Amino acid sequence: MSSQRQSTQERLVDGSVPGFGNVSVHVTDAVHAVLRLWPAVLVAVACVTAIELSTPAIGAPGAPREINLMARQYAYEPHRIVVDPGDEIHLRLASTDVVHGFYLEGHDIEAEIRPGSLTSWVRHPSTEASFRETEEIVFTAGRPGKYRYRCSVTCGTLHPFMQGEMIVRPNNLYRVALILTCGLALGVFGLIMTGALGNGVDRSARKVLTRRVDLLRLVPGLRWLVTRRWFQFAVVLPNLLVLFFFIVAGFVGSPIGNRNIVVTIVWILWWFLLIAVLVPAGGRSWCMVCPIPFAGEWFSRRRLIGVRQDAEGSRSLRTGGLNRRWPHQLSRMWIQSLLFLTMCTVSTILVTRPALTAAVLSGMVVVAVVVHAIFKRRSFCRYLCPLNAWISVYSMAAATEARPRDPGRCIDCRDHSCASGSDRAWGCPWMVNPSKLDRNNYCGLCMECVKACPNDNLTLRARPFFSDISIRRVDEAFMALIMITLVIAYTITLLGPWGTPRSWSNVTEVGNWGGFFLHSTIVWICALVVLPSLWYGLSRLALRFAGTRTVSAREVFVRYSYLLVPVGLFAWIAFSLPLVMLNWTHITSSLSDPLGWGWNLFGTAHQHWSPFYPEWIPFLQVPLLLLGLTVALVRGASVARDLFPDRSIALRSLIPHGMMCTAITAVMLRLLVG
Amino acid sequence: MNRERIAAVLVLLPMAAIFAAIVWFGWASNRLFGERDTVVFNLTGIASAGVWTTSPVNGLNYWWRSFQPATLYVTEGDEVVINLRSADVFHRFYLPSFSVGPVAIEPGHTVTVRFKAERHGVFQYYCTSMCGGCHFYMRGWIVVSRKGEIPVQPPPIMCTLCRPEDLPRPETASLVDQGAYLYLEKGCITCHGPEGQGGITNDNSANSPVPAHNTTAEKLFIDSPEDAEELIRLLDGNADLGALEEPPEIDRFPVVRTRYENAKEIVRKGRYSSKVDPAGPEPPLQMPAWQHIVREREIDALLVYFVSLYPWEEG
Repeated sequence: MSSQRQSTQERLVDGSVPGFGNVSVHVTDAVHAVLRLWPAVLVAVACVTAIELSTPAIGAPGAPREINLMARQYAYEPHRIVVDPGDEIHLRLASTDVVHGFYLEGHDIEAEIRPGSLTSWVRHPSTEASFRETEEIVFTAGRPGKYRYRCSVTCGTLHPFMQGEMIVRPNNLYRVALILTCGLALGVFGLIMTGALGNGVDRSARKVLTRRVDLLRLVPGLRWLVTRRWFQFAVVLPNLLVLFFFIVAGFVGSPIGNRNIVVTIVWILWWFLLIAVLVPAGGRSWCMVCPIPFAGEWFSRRRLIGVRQDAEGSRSLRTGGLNRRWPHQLSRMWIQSLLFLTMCTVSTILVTRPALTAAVLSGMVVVAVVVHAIFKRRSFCRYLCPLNAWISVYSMAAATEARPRDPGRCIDCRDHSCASGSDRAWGCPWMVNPSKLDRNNYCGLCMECVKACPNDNLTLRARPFFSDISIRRVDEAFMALIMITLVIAYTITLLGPWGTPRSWSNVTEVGNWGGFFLHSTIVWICALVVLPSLWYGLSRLALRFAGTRTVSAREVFVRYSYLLVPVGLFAWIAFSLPLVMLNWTHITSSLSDPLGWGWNLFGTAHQHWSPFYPEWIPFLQVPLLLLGLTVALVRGASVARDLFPDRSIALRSLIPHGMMCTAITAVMLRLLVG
Repeated sequence: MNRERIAAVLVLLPMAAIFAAIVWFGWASNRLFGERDTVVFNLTGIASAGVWTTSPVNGLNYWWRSFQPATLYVTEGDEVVINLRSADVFHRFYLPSFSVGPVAIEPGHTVTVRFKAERHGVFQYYCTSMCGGCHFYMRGWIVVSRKGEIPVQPPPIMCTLCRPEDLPRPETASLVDQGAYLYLEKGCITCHGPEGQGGITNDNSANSPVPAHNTTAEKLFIDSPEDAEELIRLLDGNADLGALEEPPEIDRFPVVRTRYENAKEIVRKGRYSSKVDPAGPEPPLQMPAWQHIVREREIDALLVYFVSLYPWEEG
């Protein structure tokens, strides 16, 4: 065994790997390459299991367990309770500051904790309407798994994130998920390398990637609709009015986040829809309907619907504003990435304060007007909008694309009105060349090119998810890496049981600037230094594994960052899912009382907070994360084949990054279901 | 061009309508459709400032404005309507003099209470659900004056915690100084009076006024200033009264020790003030159980501070 391993190693280093034809050799190679990782995998699994098993439970198994739970803004102490199934648990609740709630998922227990009192008020929400006073809550621990307990009484700004966790040992779901994750990684690699899946990657994967449905021909009336000059105006207008109302509501409405419509709709509903529906299904479809640049675009075009031309009717479209070119040096995504990172640094405050949300939204509108006044077309959206960075990277996953039907026809085309404009349409506001569109990243789906094309050669197509597989620039790669750091940081700060990072990030209320600085520094360094360095190191390793120098480590770094798109997107969906499942009543109640002024428009204003099957959330998160990993590995194989012509080399080079994605998935699993 | 104008109208008109509707609902409707012959107040509880305020509290001003506690002026015989809201956490509004409440004010809900101001005088209203550091200062006055009379203007009850100049950090680490600080910081002063002098009335309570604390030494059966000093010295040195190697020079020390432990237990567990008139309103001031809020050492500090307050010279 050891001699075989050594021989593999040598071959890996010196690069004398047999090529395609020799199947038997590359199978053993592949198996050995996987075997090489066994120790690492075993150590990781052993560590996790050890941590899991060594978690101390309170008291002896089966005996009544006495637990004193202390609530304070915005965490519980202890933050994690470990018990065994069937344990009789005696819970005494106390609060140190304000009135808190206690809602235990899956056990039908809801309590109110009043400070300065030795008793708490408890009820079974499914059967009882009113609370009764009790000294201790007695219940039996249910099936094994993870249950969170969370605050059910609005207790201040970060109330929706105040939670702890109860583990009923053994946490089978978590264990199965971890084993599946490791097994999945090894299995996918093994299958690819033994050829069972690998041949598929070569041939049918490409076929899958080219499968398209022309929506403008398939859906009756759709072409007519999107080629109307008023189309974009009509879809933006409702959003514009809603945005206007939200901004006013944020400023004059209730200061309580979960009672103000700007927070509940924007940060619970819209954010979830953007992540889980709009981007995966429609790519940058949000950019099509986004009302933020509306005022700026109106100013620069001086038209809401029509196309403006100068008196001679020539193609040079004179618009409002200075119409300058955006400085070339700033045209990468760095500004946006940093702005998005900044926004995320303060996001704990941002998503809980209606006035701040309203201020940021209106600030973006104002900046968009200024940028439209100076620079041409949608420079704001492309180069400054912080969200563009997020949407741009993940729109590659989308099932929709705008593309030329026949790129060959575009080569012969002398018209170019899709890029430069005509009397039918504005030149591409996003400053891309529609005739050369081959990925979604910078296309805002505004449909101007469809209107412009004299040959009707541009269309909207449906396609398999994750069809764009090429990240081409370092800034784009960094964006994918930053998003991974952020989703982990968010999961820790907002969904974790720990109160300390939460209070650090909540600086305007707590006032601990040192902690805030530390928190932000950690996030920034992880996002911009640690993870990218690690990723680069893995790229060097990948080249060693591949045993070839035909591509640079930088190229591998950039192209393999695509693996983080599916991993990241599904991690974001898994992160956002609880937000909407737990807090949907905040949406319905604030729809009835949008400003928190005591209205009751639809009769739902006084609806009691009741989460939607919260104990099943982990069972949804696990498949999501596993799906993300699978897609990453399978599509990653396609990226690898683009990079390295030799399949065996290609797949070996994928191992380090594939393992990293597995580790990221395992971290998310630990945080969400562990 | 016509199309552009229609589009512009479609943008601007609904915006103006939305703005007008919000302004109208927020400001005018209250005035136009408010009940006749009633005096309407909108009171919003703010935990971070420890006040009930009549100012409108919104997403914008909550974070920077310093809100003042509201004094409500009404005339005898008025029908009074109060719309109660919370700007942050769970509060409880209580106006015992007119048997209003205590009513729970959940954040995001508006609770309307009404009463007839039948007698004249100056009455206090309270928050009776602990709502943070400023809770005990969260009180205000309702002044009911006779028709034609110039109403008295009671000084507003201001939160000491929110004005750091009124709450200097203790100069020394001695237990007495710590206790003096905690007495202000935890809000004990609001019920037990400045320097533990007591005298604060508690409506319909069997032990009204609220017990004073400058007589604590007496209640602990401490007879002389020397004994008091010895007890303070012992506790300052972090001694465990139950495990002293040799009995200290304090008269009747076992009794003093037991009384001391009992006093601590009252602070820990709180004490319910029963009603004098069983049909009357609940006493607004109740001693909360402090055991989860202050540490053991802090209870020592408070008790030592009380012992130090005893006016020996006069006795």
